[in-house]
Amino acid sequence: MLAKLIKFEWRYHTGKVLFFVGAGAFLFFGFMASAAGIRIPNIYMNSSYMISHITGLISLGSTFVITIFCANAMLKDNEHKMTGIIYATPVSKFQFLFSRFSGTFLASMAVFSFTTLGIFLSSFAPWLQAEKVGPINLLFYVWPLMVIALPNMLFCGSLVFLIATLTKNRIAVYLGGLFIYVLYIVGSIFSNSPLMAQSLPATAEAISMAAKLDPFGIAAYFEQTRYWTVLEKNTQLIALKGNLLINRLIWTLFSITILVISYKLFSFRSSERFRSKKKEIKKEPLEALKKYIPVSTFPNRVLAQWKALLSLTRMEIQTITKSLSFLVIILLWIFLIGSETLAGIDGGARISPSYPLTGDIISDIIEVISFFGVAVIIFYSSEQIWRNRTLQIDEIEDATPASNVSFFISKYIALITVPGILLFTSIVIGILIQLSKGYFNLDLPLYLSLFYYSGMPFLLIAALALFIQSLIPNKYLGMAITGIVVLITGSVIGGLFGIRHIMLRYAAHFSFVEYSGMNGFGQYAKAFHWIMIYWGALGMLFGLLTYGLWKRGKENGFMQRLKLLTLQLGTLGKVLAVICVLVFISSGSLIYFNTNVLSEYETNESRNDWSQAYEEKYKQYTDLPQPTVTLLRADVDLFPEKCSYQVRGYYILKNKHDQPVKKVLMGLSKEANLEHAEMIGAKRIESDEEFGHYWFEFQQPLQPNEEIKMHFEFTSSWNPFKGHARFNAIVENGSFIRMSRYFPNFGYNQDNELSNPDIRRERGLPEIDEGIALLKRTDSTKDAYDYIDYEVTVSTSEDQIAVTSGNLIKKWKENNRNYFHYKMDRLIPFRFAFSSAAYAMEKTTHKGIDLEIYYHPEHAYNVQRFLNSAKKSIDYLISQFGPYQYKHLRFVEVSAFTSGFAATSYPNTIYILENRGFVTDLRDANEPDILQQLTAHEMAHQWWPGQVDPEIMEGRQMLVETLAQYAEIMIYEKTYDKSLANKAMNVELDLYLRDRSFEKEPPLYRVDFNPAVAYSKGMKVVYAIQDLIGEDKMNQALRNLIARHAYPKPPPNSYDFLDALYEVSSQEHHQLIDDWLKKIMLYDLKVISANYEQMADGQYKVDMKVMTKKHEEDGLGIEKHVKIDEEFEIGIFTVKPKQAQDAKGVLYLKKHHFNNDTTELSVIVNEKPVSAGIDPYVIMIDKDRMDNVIAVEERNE
Amino acid sequence: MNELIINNINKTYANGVKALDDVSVTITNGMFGLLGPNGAGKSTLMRTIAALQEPDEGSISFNGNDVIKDPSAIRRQLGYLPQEFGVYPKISAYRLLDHLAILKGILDNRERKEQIEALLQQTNLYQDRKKVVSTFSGGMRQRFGIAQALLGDPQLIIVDEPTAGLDPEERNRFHNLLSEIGENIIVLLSTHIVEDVRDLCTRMAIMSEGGLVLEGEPRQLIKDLRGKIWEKAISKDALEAHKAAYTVISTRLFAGETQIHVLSDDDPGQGFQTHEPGLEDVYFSILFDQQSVNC
Repeated sequence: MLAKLIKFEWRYHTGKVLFFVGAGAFLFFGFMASAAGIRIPNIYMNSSYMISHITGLISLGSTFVITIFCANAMLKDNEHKMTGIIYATPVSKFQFLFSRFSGTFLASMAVFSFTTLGIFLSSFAPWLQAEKVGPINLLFYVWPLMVIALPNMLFCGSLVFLIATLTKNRIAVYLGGLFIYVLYIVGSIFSNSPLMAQSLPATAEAISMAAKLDPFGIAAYFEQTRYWTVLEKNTQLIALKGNLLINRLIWTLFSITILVISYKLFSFRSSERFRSKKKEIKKEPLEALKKYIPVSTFPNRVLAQWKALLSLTRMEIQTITKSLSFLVIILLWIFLIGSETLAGIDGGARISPSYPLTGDIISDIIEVISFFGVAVIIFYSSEQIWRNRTLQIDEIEDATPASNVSFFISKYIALITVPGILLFTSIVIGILIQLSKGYFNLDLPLYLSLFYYSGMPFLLIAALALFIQSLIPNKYLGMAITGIVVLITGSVIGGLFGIRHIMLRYAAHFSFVEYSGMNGFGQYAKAFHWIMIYWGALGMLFGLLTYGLWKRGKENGFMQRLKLLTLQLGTLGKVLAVICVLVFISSGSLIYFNTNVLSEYETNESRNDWSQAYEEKYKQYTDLPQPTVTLLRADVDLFPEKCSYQVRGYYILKNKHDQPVKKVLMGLSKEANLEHAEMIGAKRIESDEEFGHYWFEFQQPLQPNEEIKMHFEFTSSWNPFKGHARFNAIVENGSFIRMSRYFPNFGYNQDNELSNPDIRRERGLPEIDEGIALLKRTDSTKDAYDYIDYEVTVSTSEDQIAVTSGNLIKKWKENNRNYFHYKMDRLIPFRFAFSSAAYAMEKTTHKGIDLEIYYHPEHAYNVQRFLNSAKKSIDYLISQFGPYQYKHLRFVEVSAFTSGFAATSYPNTIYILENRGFVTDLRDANEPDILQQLTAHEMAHQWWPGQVDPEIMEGRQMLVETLAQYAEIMIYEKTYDKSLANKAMNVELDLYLRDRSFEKEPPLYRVDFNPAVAYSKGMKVVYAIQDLIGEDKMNQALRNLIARHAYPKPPPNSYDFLDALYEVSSQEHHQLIDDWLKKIMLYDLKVISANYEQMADGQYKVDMKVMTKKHEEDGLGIEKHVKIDEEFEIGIFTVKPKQAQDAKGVLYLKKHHFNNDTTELSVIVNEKPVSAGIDPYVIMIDKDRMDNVIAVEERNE
Repeated sequence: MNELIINNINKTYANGVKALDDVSVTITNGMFGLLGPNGAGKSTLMRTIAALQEPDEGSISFNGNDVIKDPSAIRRQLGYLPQEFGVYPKISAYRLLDHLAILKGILDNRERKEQIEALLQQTNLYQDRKKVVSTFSGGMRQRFGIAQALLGDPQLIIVDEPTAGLDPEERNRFHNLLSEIGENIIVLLSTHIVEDVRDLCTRMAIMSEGGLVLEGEPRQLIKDLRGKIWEKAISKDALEAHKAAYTVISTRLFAGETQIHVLSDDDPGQGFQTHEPGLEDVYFSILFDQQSVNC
């Protein structure tokens, strides 16, 4: 019987279109996520790690499947009014529920398993590189399905089953399913889950807690695999042990409990208790019966149509807003937007919070509402079209003389009211959050602009959604089609199908505009207006068609409605339609002119073609001897309001080779347009506009050491329809341009090459070796620096100040423009940038250095703190490394229209993004002071590489970034205390362990651009060396490095740094220095047991057993055990382990020598110990730092 | 005098069911009853006249206006009560009537209020006017449906199975209301309950399998049948034999016995007694004819 019932349920589900649609969708998701989605270098796409990853992520989506299936299975009787019949059959409650649930569960699981099939098939995608696909192991596919997807399905299923049992209401079940999903996402954001790819990892405790509590087990998966090496990721199955096992057990038990509860609560009787009680209305005395008299009607008058429209609109809006589903949606939204906004301000667990700026809040709103709002519109658009039919009031209303215009417009207005209410709610929440944070600078006009920038696309999507719903004869199919159309035209998914051009992206949805506090919406607002006109015309056309095809009455097929279309539209409608088409075409032409005619439209494909063609044509000139720039003079005119600039200037070029130079290959970035170029004594013989290359030939070859002059003139601008290059952000306010990249350069430009190894392989290009020279000992005695003499005059609009490197020697006003003359009094690398904004400026002098800070007047919160942080940094840097080479030091705020850095250091000028530091809320003294860290780091760059500019080869990043990190942590520790410094270093340790395996890991001394190694491991390791040999000696080594290698002395490389370290340290430490800098060495230090006893003299004897393991890894994760022979700190504390790691309550702290994997030792202390640890402050690179300190127990024998 | 002319309309649904089969009829002021079994096509005809559905062929005109080409012509003068209808949730009876009155085009606020109140009283809903319509019982909801159909100044009222689910008292009240207004306008009433037509209608038609099989005045139709209906009480076992031997148009149980009515121009003898025909006999005899034609 039971088997038959289950079989019946299975047939019921699998016989539905939904089953096949779902299976197809999951096949697609699985395939795309694997074939075109997440990709990690060196990790096979069919490794257990990747398959588990994708299975876990997509299993979130299974919520929706099982929700719909469950609603169908549990409510079909109710809705088809079959309950009476079904419930009267002899089927027992158990048989009934068990079969319904099993059927639902099996069918959902079947649908979901198509994901696995999709992932499996993706390995055979023709465009894949063989290297990406490892050996096929079926277990890799099935295991995650069992361990991750199956319990997740059970979890979702049990919850929606409970809701269905309790409410017997379809909407409630759907919302319940949605609620699980949203709750989960919000929870992930809040708990800083790795799912959300936050830039900073959570603490280890938080990760362990999340691993247990995450009902989908994704956090547990991440916890287990977070430090996996490349090798492990490729070969290892996730193991059902530790937190993952606990997690799976907890949630499976939870699901079963919920199912049992549902079973107990289920009743064959209908759900009376959830019906509201009918109110008793007092009987009124009956008046004399009024007689019915017909009343004249005037349905044709305009007033009547207007009143009908108002009444219908009121009715529609009331029906929506009075419904339970609407209430739930609003609550959900308040929850979502509130937590998103708060999370944005608080910056997660490890970054300092920001002031709740209106600009940041509206950016959050725009981002979050774009998806939520569309989902709500899709849901309600189907409601709008189908509601009256479902309620069966359609025939009554349709038989009235009210016009189709009134019906259509009222439905549309009610539909767009919903996102309107959502936006309004978000604004209220935003203001409440601002007020609660004691922030009163509310920018109401900016809030209101949301209704345009976010609201306009909703108006258009609502028109599209109603149009589709009115065409498709099935509600759910209509919703699905609308969803697909919006996703494909609006989101990144469309990119997979080549839909990237704004003229193909309906309503330009999903964040076309961006907002910056300094620059507002900038030029993008103008493009947005035009795009809205363009799509608005189409949206209006959709509206007209929806109206023209309006379905009134029953059984009127599509063809019949089509026949009536022109009749229905009438003259006005037809005229409007023609106008729409004309507006669509003309605004479209304007946009097309801007995107495709003014300059070539680029796709990824065409860009790659270009790069390949460039490489094939010019690679041969790599070693062609070219002259070097030694002097630069330029007039730079910035036109922020026009988003353009113009440069006129000249170079002095010198032949630094020992042979004559005959031909010069000048190059110019695609961002710049050459207006003029003239080389004295040479003739331009060829211009290759496509690649920005220009050949000059000398009449008399340029002899070694001979100099010539070259004049040039170029312009650069961008167009908001196409977007701007992030490092060429000439914008209305807060421009930042890394302009040295756009000046004429010489010779083959390697930056134009395709760098992605996969794409290179696909295109048959030879492999490039990381593009950086191998580390080798060099004898750089000749002039290794291409430094220049730098002097520029920069002009900008009259309300702005322009800043670049150099001393400001003159400023003046001319022709309503501001001019600034900057001159560098020493040679600098060919590396300079410009910024321009309506700045406020604060300055002070410290140790003879002029400190200046240029900031956006509204972001004045931390100006003094910046200056103080700078002073503290200067004190340390000068006392430890030697004098500062310039007279000025400038901090300059730039708009977030540029990105890719938090701060960037140029000679005597440091540019900082507006949302980093300037708006950090530092009112709480207990928060980490990122401002101090940022300032110290960037200022240290004035020494490294400002003074010691290492050779461009492997290891350069160690001498640049690692040393800046070292200075940063030392200054931070001096300014605050060990506790905050430890916290900062723990963040770096977590970052290193998490990110290192995403590519083949180099040892620190050979590091190239690899932040996990250069920044994170670097800070830890150099700090550890300092701890080993002493700060004095460490800094002595660094001073020596400067003394021997500062410009113009020969530039150093990693070996010179190592030598400097060997020189100051004793022989016994050299091995460890090598271990840490030249190898990949990991430690596993832990206290196995610790207990104490009080001795006769009142002192305490602590006995500890500790493990001290060390192993070396190759870059891919193959481990080799290393014999230990070194010292670690042993600490005994009067506080609990957690506080002990915060550098509190020290009883005893001393280095001990270890040369075994496990050691027993005893320490005598004066006070009663609470905890004991080895390397308590985690100076070593330790995979598990939580077990370094444990509580001490009293020995009881 | 209003005039509704229906000419040769046909409708076949996508599933092949022929819902309307060459229907032609002309209706003028007064109550017109459309009688027929379930599935005969009554509702389709009603919806077609109300311009909620288009026929495949044929024409409908109301007071000279072509309803199919210009549906608004009939909507302006129509009161329509569909066979099944629902309402907006959480909206009171008064508010919903007000909304529908506005849709019908009653512009004057006072007039609208007066008429709605009158209708609420006439349908005995006045005391429940502030209640949410969706909580109404079946009878109350049906009365609400009638009230809304009478809003404005309808010249044609179409009521589809209006008395289904009404108790006898409610039905009575409903009949009174309809007959009162049915003198100066057309009231088109579809039903499968013979009594409704007998009690109310001046003219009637019988519909079967999409076609009109009989049209006329109820009184005249009954008169035509006088002397042709014979009645006999028989045992259950004898039913088959009688069906074979006579034109049995209806059988029913009466006090445990099976009573049969037989159509015959002459006295069939054999214990049959003459029976004074009612409208029911008209109905059954027509349906019987119709079925034998199809056999």
